[in-house]
Amino acid sequence: MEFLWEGLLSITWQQVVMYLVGAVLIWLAIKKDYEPALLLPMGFGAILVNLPLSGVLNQTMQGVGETQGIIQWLFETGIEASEAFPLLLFIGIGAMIDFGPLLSNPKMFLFGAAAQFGIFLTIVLAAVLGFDIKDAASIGIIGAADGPTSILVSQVLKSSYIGAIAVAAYSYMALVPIIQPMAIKLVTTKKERAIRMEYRPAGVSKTTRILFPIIVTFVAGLVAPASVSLVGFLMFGNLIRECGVLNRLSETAQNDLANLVTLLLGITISFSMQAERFVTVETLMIMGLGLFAFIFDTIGGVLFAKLLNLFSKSKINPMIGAAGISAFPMSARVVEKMGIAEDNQNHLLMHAVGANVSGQIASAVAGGIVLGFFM
Amino acid sequence: MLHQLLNSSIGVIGGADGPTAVFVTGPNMDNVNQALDIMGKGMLGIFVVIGLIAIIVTVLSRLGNNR
Repeated sequence: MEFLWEGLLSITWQQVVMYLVGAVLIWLAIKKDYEPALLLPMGFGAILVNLPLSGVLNQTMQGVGETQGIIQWLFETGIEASEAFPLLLFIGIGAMIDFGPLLSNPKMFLFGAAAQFGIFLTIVLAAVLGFDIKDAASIGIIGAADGPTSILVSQVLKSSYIGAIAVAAYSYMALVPIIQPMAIKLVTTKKERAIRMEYRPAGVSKTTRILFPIIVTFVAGLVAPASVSLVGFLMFGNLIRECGVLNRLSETAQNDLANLVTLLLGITISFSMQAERFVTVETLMIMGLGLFAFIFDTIGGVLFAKLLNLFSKSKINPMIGAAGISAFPMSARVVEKMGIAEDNQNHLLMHAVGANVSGQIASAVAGGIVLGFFM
Repeated sequence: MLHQLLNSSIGVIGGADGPTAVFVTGPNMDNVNQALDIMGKGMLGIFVVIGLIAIIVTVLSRLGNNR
């Protein structure tokens, strides 16, 4: 009868903590609607991989030898060996994005670049706190505000904190509507937030829309070759969308592919949430550093817009800079909402969407540039 | 890592002596210097890539509008 108690008695306190973490993630997904497609599978996976002698992980059994666990296999095949899951998800994301608002107002590109500042400042802070430089770089990438990029970079750099990094990246993406207004108000005045911006979009030809993903891939590939898998897959998805002859594939990439990969990615990443690796002080530090990255991304974007205003005749609402982070479309919505709160006729949405989709490209480029330093 | 942090040489700042602090914090300073290098070159790299793309898109749009 001993086998009935064996499992129960071998539960460690760290595993109990992970059950609570899993429950919190599931609660955030269901009750608060925070990135449910990722946080729910991750929460459930956190419980699954932390059951004693869990069958979803490889185990050694007496008289049988090693047995294969499905989550470990998914992790080793889909993430560790090829980074296939995050990259395939990028095809779906690329197919979902309409770069029109950005192409009609190319000035918005710059905000995508400026809002990556938090990534690099966090790398420095993590290094100061004593993290190894590869771990520091992986932690900084939480500031890309882009889950697949964070997972890919931390995996390629063989960071031991991939689980904590993924949880931080997705949690803070969901918390953008809370984090960004606080950070924006910290560095702007009421008068600045009320600056109106006229929206006069230039027409975007079909040729420009088709050439755009090819040009982006080419430029990113030549200047930052390590970014080419991320940017290339993102742009491949976008080319499928814009070419006009692959509507069925575009639909599949946007819906079936993205949903299927998301489903597997969430539960697969839970492999890195095993108690002995996750329940550490470093995890708490990573959560703090992730928040720092998001705040300084926002501040970097806003301050850059203010800098441009010193030289520009037509003033830019500095909040547009904050929309340069990759969290799409939450960040653009936050800026629109804050603009209306200051002046109910102040519609900034289309400008903010332009900056926001620029952030999608810039974050992938940032991931590639960071990887490039270790190649 | 935390152990390393707690045992690190933050206290040596109290020595109010730059060279001593740099000497004592040597290994960690290598990491920090590398991180600062990544920050400088990384931000420059992003602006170069994104700036180039923005210029090409602007030119493409103008050419398209002139037709």
